[in-house]
Amino acid sequence: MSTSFTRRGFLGALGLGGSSLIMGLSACGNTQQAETKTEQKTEAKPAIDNPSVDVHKVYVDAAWVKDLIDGKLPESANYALLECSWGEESDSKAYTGGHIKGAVHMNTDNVESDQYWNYRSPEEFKDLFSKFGITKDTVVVCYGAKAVDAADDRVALGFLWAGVENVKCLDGGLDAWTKAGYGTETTSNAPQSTNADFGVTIPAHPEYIMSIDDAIKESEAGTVKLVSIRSYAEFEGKTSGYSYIDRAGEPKGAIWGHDTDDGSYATADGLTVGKDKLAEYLKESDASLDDHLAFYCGTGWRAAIPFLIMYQEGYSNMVLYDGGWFQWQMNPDLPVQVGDPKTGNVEYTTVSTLPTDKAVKK
Amino acid sequence: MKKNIRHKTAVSLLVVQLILAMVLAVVHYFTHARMGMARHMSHLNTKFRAALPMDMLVKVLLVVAVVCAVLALVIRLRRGIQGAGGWVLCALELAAPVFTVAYTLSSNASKDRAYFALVLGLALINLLSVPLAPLSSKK
Repeated sequence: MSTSFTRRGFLGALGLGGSSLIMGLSACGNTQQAETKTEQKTEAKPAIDNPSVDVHKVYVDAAWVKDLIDGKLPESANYALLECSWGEESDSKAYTGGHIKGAVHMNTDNVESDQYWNYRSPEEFKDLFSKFGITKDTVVVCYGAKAVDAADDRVALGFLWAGVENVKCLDGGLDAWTKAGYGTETTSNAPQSTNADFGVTIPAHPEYIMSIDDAIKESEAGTVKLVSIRSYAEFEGKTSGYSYIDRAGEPKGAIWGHDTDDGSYATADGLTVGKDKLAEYLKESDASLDDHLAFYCGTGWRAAIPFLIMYQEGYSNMVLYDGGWFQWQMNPDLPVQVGDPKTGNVEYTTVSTLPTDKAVKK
Repeated sequence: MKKNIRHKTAVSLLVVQLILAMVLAVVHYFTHARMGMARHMSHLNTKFRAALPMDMLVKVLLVVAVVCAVLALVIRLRRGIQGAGGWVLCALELAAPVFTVAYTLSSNASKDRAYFALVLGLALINLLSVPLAPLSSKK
């Protein structure tokens, strides 16, 4: 065979081998990154007496978190600070690029299962809490990159559902922290596990989450208002909003509660809006904070924000419909709407008739 | 088969293998780096499982990889390996089934959402080594 093939063959084979090597290294690397060393701690930390802020208050400012980590608050005796984002720690720029001192990375995959991206089982939450040293008495503080980031809200609501009694979200996320002039660290912090009992059967608050079966039953009976926390384009059925969801539309009867990703739930200062803004959005669709509301979005992240806004105001007439549009559109028989009922330009049909070319193209 | 047709076919097969390997590397990387891609792969895995007996298929493809590797090696040795480049090509063509076996046995769809896509892609790379073997040998 000619010399030219031998040379070209060598270069091609080198590329092939090189690609294999790259894949091998990255595959091995990812397996190794998944294993985190944890330090065993067995003693249960006590419940907090006289907390500095109401246990039900969720959104706290950067100054409060600073006092917490500086040991100036009663809550400082038993807290866990979690930087919440998707992916392993090494892949999370929000963590590796600089995190609040003492924060541990919380991969949202830890609270969501692969099948429908719904919250994991009670047993999985129990193991997670043990691994992260969290009991029902631990003050858990979650934060994301910024106010519109819903990863921390998703984790926070899951923890409240499970039974953690005092869950906070840093209002405005890491953005607010750095704007306040506080520094960050890049040292990796491992979670400190515990063998102590969580302290309550998980979930302590099953009433916070609505399954798809209940969402179907209650929306048909008219006993719940499904509130879509998605973009208007998603609500109208122009796009599914996701690269992995092929169909667009909404469950029949849903009303539009505005999107969180576009800043509708953030103030000009980058903080989370209050219940008045939420009430304003609901009023657009003749709904109010007094209705039985089921917030949902694609897979449950964005919808956690209005839930937590109502939760911290003491409301109990709201739930998170966990399956979202993702799970709804998997059942061909379920009723859907395409268009905005308020404008009169709406079609009511079933999932089976929806076109499957509405995924976001990447 | 005329020499230049052999030559061109061999180079084409090699290039296809290379492109496939790079595509798999990219899919693997983005599945770990991007939530949207990870969820997309998860969704694909559900479709794979619904359409095919994936756990059995993975085992079959593992056997196919080993068989292809042995076959390609035997063909090369019998037909003769030309020069240092030929030996390097032979060794690097063995890297694919070795990697396939190592990856398939050490990982799974729970650990790596790109698992099924990678196993299927690697199977294709391994299958291509069989026709490539006689085309890139001395005789």
